[in-house]
Amino acid sequence: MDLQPLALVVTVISGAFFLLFRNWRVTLIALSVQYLAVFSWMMAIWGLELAAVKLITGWMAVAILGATLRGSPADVDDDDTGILFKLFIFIILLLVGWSSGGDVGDWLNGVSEQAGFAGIVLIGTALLRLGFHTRALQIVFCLLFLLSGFELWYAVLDNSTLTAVLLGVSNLAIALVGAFLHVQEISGSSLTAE
Amino acid sequence: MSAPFLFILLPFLFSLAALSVSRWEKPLAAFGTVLPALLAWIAWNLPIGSPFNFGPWSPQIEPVMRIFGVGLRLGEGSRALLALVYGGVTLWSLAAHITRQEPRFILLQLVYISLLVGVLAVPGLVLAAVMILFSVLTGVVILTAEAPRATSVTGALGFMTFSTLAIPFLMMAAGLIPGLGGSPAELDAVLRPSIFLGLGFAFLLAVFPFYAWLPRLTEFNHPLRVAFVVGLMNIAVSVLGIVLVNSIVWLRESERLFAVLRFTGLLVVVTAGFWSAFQRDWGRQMGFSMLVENGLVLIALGSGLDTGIPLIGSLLLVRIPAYLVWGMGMALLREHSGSLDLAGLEGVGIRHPILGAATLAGHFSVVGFPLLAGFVPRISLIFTLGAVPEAIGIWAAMLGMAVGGLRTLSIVFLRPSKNVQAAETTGEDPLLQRFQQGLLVFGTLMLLVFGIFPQVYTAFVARFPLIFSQFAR
Repeated sequence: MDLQPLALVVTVISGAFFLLFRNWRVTLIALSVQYLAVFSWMMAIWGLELAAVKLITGWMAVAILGATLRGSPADVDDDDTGILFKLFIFIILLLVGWSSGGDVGDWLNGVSEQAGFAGIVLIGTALLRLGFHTRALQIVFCLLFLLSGFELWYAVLDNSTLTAVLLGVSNLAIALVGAFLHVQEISGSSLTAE
Repeated sequence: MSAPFLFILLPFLFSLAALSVSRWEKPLAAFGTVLPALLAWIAWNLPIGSPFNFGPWSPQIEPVMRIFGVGLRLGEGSRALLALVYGGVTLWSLAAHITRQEPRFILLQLVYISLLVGVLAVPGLVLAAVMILFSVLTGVVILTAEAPRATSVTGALGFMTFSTLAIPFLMMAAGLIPGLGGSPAELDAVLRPSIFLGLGFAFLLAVFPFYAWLPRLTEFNHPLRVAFVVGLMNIAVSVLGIVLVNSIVWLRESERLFAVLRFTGLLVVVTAGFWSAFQRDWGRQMGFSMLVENGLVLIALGSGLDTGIPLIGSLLLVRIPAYLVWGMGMALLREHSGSLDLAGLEGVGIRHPILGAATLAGHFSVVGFPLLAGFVPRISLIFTLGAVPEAIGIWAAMLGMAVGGLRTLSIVFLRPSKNVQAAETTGEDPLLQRFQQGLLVFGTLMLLVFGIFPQVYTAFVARFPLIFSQFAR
């Protein structure tokens, strides 16, 4: 069964939620759903075993970030951009993705038009959201989202086990460092407030 | 025993084990200072890949080690670089001890440097890119692990974001490079990996216009830590870049690439040098100086491999004592004054003459002031380039940095202090102060010796190009 159209829809929806909503719970859910979509893209290229590495490490990264935020007293939301503006730029991003998805395939031989579109949505939403935030965890969310988009494209160029494992570990390491930075940021802010 | 085990795994595993032990933190950190000194001595004196005499035995350090199916390689040609980086780490560890950094910093330094050496030892650009990412993440922890400050996180986030953005570009370039030859029919295909490589290195080396994060990092974070993390990262990335250019035929033979490198370097040097003149924070001046250094490396590489590589060797070597003295001096000044804002440093050189003079010596060495270490490599580069815009750009950047340096000098030494009381209440251990002054004087003397007698590092510069014969990718 061809899962690509469904994966594309899921990617677009997770991208929309990731960009439009500021709440960290929604963000974490969007990140988890995005890993599921990327898993289904990668399964078609890498096979179930290797694609599962991406899914599991991605969800572990989400779990680390969720656990950090759950115990954190401070609000990590530092974005006051209007939702209508974000919706407008998301629609523009979709149009760019729709029109340029095929060009990605021309640049990176083997990337399908749909995967090209999905990658643009993931990378684009991450870069846009990166511009709205300055707090450590928000930036880490964006980096994880962005790396997923690149990994979606990179999967067709390299299907070695070592690379898949290292990329998975990289995601985990980014989440761990993000958690550490969040704790430092909170401690620093509270010291400054005192 | 193999060289990758000795220079990568041993310091990495030792520091990880030491970090997990909370009891003997200080003795372990002390050993963490001795270990890189030992490794630097071994790298400089013992051959790799051929036997040497050790009493009645003739042991040999093997150049290759296999781990998880990956062959790590550090051959004879890498010895000069290994001696340089481990020598640098030793000096930084000493500086960390006497500026009272926590022992964890010294151990994290070893993790960081072993990962950076790993970048150059792994086969292929994909693994190198992943190792860079791990190094960056360790660097972020080093930068933010001092006493919690929200601003230090803000500074480090830029470093983390831009360096992480580089990784996918490097990996995609690596994915596209296999199978590409140098034939004219494939020149269109060469454009794509070139763009990806260019973007990857532009993010890592903070090339214009992706460089706003670096002055912010040096403004907000601990100067000694920033000088260590960014200084060594730039050395590793520069070496990786020149290794790539040297080992990929179509890159090495591309006239356009060298023109792009020279132009990009010129852009970085001129803009960063210009902005350096207007900074009111000494930390930000250091950030812009680091950018100028990166630009100089790009220009040197753009001048051609044969002439450029020895110049890059000397540029990278003199960087270490200069940033050590500058970073350590600024760290101590920040302790005394609370910040590196020039307004708060008025007269601090009158109260602490050795500290103020040594810090300025480090700064002016990076500027390229005559008689200091940075002068000879810069002037050699300018003479090599001749009367081209790049040479004029380097003069302009040196002028911009000199203006910034002279402004700082006038504030630190010439203006009367408004805050004499604060300086006297730090209550530091006099013995520790002696050690601090001793290391600063030693660093300044190194800068003077390197500046007046550049032949002392000729042996290093002669060995430096050998790196490229061994890191064939």
